[in-house]
Order: sequence, then structure tokens, then C-alpha cells
Amino acid sequence: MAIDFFQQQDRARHKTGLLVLYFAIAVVSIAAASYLAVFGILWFATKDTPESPPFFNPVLMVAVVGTVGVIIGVGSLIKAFELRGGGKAVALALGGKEVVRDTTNPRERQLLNIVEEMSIASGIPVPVVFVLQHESCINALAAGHSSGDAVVAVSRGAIERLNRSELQGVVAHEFSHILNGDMRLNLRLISWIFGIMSVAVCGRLLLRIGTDSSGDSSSEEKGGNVGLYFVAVGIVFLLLGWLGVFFGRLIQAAIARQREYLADASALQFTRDPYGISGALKKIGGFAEHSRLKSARLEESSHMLFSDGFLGHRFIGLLASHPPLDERIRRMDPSFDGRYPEVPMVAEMAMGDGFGPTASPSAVPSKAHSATSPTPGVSIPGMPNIPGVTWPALEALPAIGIGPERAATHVGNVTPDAVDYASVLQDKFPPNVREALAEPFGARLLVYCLLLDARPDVRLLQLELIRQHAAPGEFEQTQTLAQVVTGLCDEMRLPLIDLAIPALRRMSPDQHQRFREQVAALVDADNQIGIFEYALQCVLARHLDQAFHVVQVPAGPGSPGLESEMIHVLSTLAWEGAADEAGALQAFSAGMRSGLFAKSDPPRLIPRTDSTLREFDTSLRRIAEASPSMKKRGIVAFAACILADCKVAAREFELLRAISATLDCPMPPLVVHPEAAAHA
Amino acid sequence: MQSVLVAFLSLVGGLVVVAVWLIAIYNGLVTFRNRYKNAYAQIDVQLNRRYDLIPNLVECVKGYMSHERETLDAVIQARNSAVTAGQSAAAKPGDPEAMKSLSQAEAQMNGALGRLFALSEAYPELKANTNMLALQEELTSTENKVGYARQAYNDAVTAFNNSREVFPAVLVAPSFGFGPASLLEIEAPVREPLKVSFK
Repeated sequence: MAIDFFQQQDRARHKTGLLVLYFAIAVVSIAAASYLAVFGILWFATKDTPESPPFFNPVLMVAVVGTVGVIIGVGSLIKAFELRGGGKAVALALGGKEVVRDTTNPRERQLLNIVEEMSIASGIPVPVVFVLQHESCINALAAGHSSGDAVVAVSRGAIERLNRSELQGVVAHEFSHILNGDMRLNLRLISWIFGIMSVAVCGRLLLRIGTDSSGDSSSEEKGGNVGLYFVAVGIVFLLLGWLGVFFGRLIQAAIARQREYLADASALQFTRDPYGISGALKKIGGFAEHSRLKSARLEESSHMLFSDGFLGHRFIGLLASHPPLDERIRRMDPSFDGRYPEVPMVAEMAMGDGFGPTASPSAVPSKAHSATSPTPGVSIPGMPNIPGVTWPALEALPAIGIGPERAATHVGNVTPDAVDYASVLQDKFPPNVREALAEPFGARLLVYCLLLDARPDVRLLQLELIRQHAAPGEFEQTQTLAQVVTGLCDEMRLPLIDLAIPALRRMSPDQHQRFREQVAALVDADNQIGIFEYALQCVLARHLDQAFHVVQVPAGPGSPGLESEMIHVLSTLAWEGAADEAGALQAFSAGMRSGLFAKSDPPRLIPRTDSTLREFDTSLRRIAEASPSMKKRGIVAFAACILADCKVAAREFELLRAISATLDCPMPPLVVHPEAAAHA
Repeated sequence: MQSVLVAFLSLVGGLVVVAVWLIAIYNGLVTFRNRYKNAYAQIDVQLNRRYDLIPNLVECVKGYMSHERETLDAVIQARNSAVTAGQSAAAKPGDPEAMKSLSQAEAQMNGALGRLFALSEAYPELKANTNMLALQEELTSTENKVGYARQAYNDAVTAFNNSREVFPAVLVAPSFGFGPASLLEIEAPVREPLKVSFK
């Protein structure tokens, strides 16, 4: 795949723009057609009387166009309001049950492990995982506005009937939707099409009123006439509404089918295991219940699903939300002969897979080279022996020459190595940290611990803050956790936040608010808090704000080309990584040289005293709202600046990842191949 | 004629808006209900964890406190009735009756546990037992988690109740079949006075 994350995002934006255009055309043509139809009815009604109505009638036009506009607008708005809850609302509406980290069901545990591995590997926070309890078919969906409030929902049938690598393929497919920004597109489409559908609903209502009233008052001459108008207008609205929905679906389906192929290809790239995803697709084909969801909400969410369960009937091809199954399989597995396997029933599967109620998750058969899932409470195993891959030492990363360009292409680009690395990293967390990650009480304390300063005096101040607001038992547990967290190496800190996000999202809004106040207090405990702690806080804010509907005040438009913002961020980063002014200057000019601005006179480094966190914050937020290509240039420059001393300390790379995450550009962790390191 | 048509069109537009609005209220209530049910699941996980720990605890102290059979039996009994109450509450989270019986059973169990711990003070060897210490620590930390999860659940229930009691929703919520949900309050443990005999 030659297309990088930023181009992919650009395409998604472009597609959204096109959709807005199509949708506008649809609304205008529905309004125009309604006017024509109403005029026709009017003309027909008055053709016996001497004065025939003029074709252009401003009052009538405003009334008709206004009514249609209001119906579509209100319909879309109401749907958008309903979907404001993001992915969680969609999953709940489909009857999903949230999978919590301390689940005792081994299959749910396995699903969660796979999702967590994929999250660490891609650098996005762990999405909330739902199991669609009442769906015995094999299907899955990803929904949400962005990676911050994404959910992955998997049907019960899928976790019961797919093996680990197939489930991994499905999860990777859904992650690709998250990374490619498909979910947002889908949510928008759903609300717009609902708006158009409102016209049809309105038509049906008119029809009913019309038929009722003309039936009731048939004796009265005038009443009968009015009833007829109702019927006529109702039929017009109904037809136009359905026609509009039909075309809307056509557009939606055409886009969705392309995204499905892309997601399949990405899943293959993430896992490098063609049998995973094709195996899952084959099982869907062979399974009697296919992938049809029972839920009544199927219609509107069909485009988010893993598969629509049709076996490639061409006559519905144009309206199908997914490409035909056999075509999708053939792209993964060219030797596919079109015969679907028998899918064993749940009980047989459970026996065959060695799943008993007591079987630990690590007994799950997995790919030969993949590490087994971690089991809570088991002592930390050694690194898996994967030929050709060395793990960056968890104590300190050796000096690796990684170019800034490579760092930028790294964004949103999950590799199978990263997935394996993720599962190893997960094993490295001490048992009590893993336990704390399972529920909001402990997850919150972990975040406090991550924000604790290394300097003893500041730390004391922060601990005192925690003690003041602590619930019973909270302070004691914080202290225990703090000892462990302080000992963690740098590349485990960011994944820790990513892993804590799902539990943190389970707080109630009140709890969340108190938590955020505490976090802000901890950061403010000392004005000199490190930029790394600050970046952690930004990542947290980014991923929790959406889930709790915290509205960020927009940072406002920046300077032209975001020049002064870029310089600010670069300066702060340069000062952060350098020991003295010469070092800072060198780092700063390295960032400038990366081709950020095409200017002859390079801007100057901002003095240390002037590069405040507040400026840094506004600058980053402005860059976060910029176009993907602008973000890419920024990330290349930041990487060049951070990596200027030709050494990537693990901490520096993690800082880059944290900044990248606040810009909504998830960057996977660094996995180093020895040959690559040798070449550098 | 035209003005009649215009009026009808606007009337119908209004009707549709109301219909869509009703759907929105219904869907909103469903989402709120699902939210508190999911919040209850969090409590359930932690409660079950506690129920699982208690037999271990009793097993651990049995060897030391053989004279306190009565207290041990009371703990086991209270635990068993709490398990039953917990199961019926998990089946119908928010149901006033189930919540009430759960909160009573929990209070009873906390009381029995409190007595057990108070008595254990009299056994120095037991207090030094690492297994016992670990269990006690585990129980306390689980209790903290229950407390936090309960807070989240109560917040979710309050949000649901508010959403069904606000003006337009209150007219239709009962006919949609949304009854009020009930908070889970766990009262402070019922402490019976310790019988101390100086014989």
C-alpha cells in the first residue's frame, strides 16, 4: 500500500465534500420536484375555473420548498442529535453489552486481548468493545466520530465461531475503518439519508390523513376535495422521498463498497495473515445464519458492518453496502473455489478449541509467531523469539537513525511486528497495574501516577493534592501504584494511557469532571511540569472529551500557513530536548530544514523564556484542526527537531508519539529490525 | 385555495416534526436505560468478586477461630443471601424491589464481615497470617471499587430518571413503558454490639 495515512485522510475529506455536494443536489431536486408536483395538482384542480394559476408563484414556492427543506433539515438534525452519542449509542441501540476488562468469559477476554494488541500496535486508544448479545450470526462493526469515541462491536456468533486469527482479521478490518475515518462519513450519511426519508414518512402520514378525512366527510363536498389534496401531495412526497432515499443509498453503497475493499486490504497489511480475514469471510459464507443481524436497526447501520451477508447476488449489486463475499475472499485468497465450509456449532467448536469454562485465555490457539495473550496474574514471560525482529530494549532504546520522513510514514501504518510487539508490551505490565486498568477506580489512579513528577518536592505536593480529594482507600492504592508506575520505562507510559481509556470512559459524567479537575490540578501543581507529562494530559483530553461530550473551545484560526504556530511548537520541542542554547538551535534548524516553509530567510528560535506551555497548547490545537497534508509537514518537522541529535531516546520517540496523537495522527510504537538499524 | 394548501402543508410539516420528535424521545430513553444497565454490570463484576473472596476468607480463619462458629456461619449465610439478591438484581437492574433487597443483603453481609474482622483482632497469629492480610486487602480494595462503580451507576440512573421526568418526555414515558429506576444505596453496616464476656 503506497498510500499513506495523510493521503487516506485527505481522500476521506474529499469524499465528504463530494457527498455534501450530492446531498445538496438531492435536496434541491426533491424540492423542485415537489414544487412541480404541487403546481400540477393545483393546475389540475383549477383547470375548470377561468383563472389558471401562474407557473411562478412566490408564495407557493416558498411554502413548498420551505416545507421540504424543514422536513429534511429537522429529520437530519434529529438523527444527528441521536447519533451524538457516537459509537456507543449505535452499539447500545443494536443491543450491545460492553465487555469489561475483568470479564470472566474466556472468549470475551480473547476478543479484548486482540483489540488491545491492535490498539497498542496502531497507537490509538483502546476502543470500547461491545458484544452484540442477541446476534448469533458472524458480524462486526466499528462506529464513532473519531478514534476518541470509537467502539468496536462484535456479534456473539463471531466470538463463538471464529478462531483467534480470524477474529484478529475481523478486528484489524474494523481498525482500518477507524484509522481511515470511515466511521464519521457513515454517521453523517445516516443522518442525511434519514432526513430524506422523513419526506417519505411525511408523505405516508399525509396519505393516511387524506384517506381518513375524505372517508369521514364524504358527504361534505369541500372536505372531500381537501382530502384528495392530502392524498395527492402525500403520494408525491412518498414517491419523492423513496426516490431520494434510493439514490442516497446508491451513493452511500458505492462509497462503502470501496471502503470495504480498502479495509480488507489494510487488515491483511496489519496482520500479514491472509487466512485470518479470508477464513472469517468463508465462515460467514458457510454459516447458515450468514451475517444478518436480527436487530431492527439493521437498515441504517448496514454500512458499518463487517459483512452484509449476501452471497453475491448481482441484481442487488448496486445497492449492496458490501462487495460480494466471494469477490472479497478471492482478493485475499485467489485459490478460493467458491465452496463455503461447514461452520461447526458452538458446542463442538468449544470442545475442539480446548475452551472449557476453566480454560485460561492463553490456551487459545494463535498464529505460530504470535505471542499468546497475557493472563492476569501469571508471571512475566520472556520475549517471544521472532526471527528478524529485535525488541527495543525496554530499559533504553539504542541509538537508531530513524529519519523524520520515516517517522511520518509511520503514522497510521500498523505492521504485524507492531502487533506482536504490542502483545509483548502488554505482558510487561505488572499484575497490579493490569488489575487497575480493568476498572475506572484504578485506571484513574494510574493516570494520576503517570502525572507524578520525578522531583521529590513536586511529587510531594502532588501526592498531597491527591490525598486531599481522595475517596476512602484511594490514597493508599495510589501510593502502591505510584511505586510501580515510576519504575516503568518510557515506552510503556503512552500505551498505559491508551489501555486505560476504556475504563476511564466508564466513569459517570460527574466522576469524569472531578477526575479532569484533579488531572489539571496535578499538572498545575508546578508550572515547570515536563512537556512529556503535559503531552500525556493532551492525549487524555483528546480521547476523553469526545466520549463525555466536552466541547472544546475552538482554538481559532491561526496565522497564515500556521507559521507562528509551527515555530512555537518547534521552539518548545527544541528547548525540551537540548541541554544548552547551541543544542536547541541545532534542533530547531533541523526542524526548519525539513521543508516546513519554502522561505529564504529562516525564522528564528523563540527564546526559552518566551516558549510557554500555553502558547504550545494553542499552537498544537490549531495545527490539529489543519488539513492532513499540513499535519504531515508538521510531524516531519517535529520529528526532525526531536531526532536532531541522531539518537532517539525512547522518551523522545514517545514524546513524538504523544504529540502525534494530539494531532489525531496515531503513530505506532517503534519496532526495530536489526538490519534496518545496521544500515542506518 | 392556495392558502388552504399552504396551511395544510405547514400543518403536516409540523405533524411530522412531532412524530420524529417522539421517536427521538423514545430512542433517547432507550439509550439512557442501556447506559445505566451497563453501569450496573460494572457493580455486578465487583460484587461477584467479593462474593468469591468470602469463602476463601472463612476457610482461612476457620483454623484459628474454631470457637466462633456462629460468626462464621453468619458470614456464610449473609454471603449466600447476598449472592441470591445480587443475581436477581443483575437480572433486573434498576428494579426498585431488587435494588432494595440487594442493598439490605449487602448491609447484612458487611455487618457480618465487620464482626468477623473485629473478632479477628483477638487472634494475633491470624492477624499475622499473610494469606489473611492479602484477603483483607483484596476485600477492601474491591469494596472501594464497588463504591466507585455504584457512584457511576447512581449517576446513570439519575440521568435516566431526569430524562424521563422532564416535560415532554414525562407525558409519553409511561406509555412507552419506562418506569422509574431505583438507585443502589448501601447503608452503613448494621453493627450489633459486640458481646464481650469477662469470664
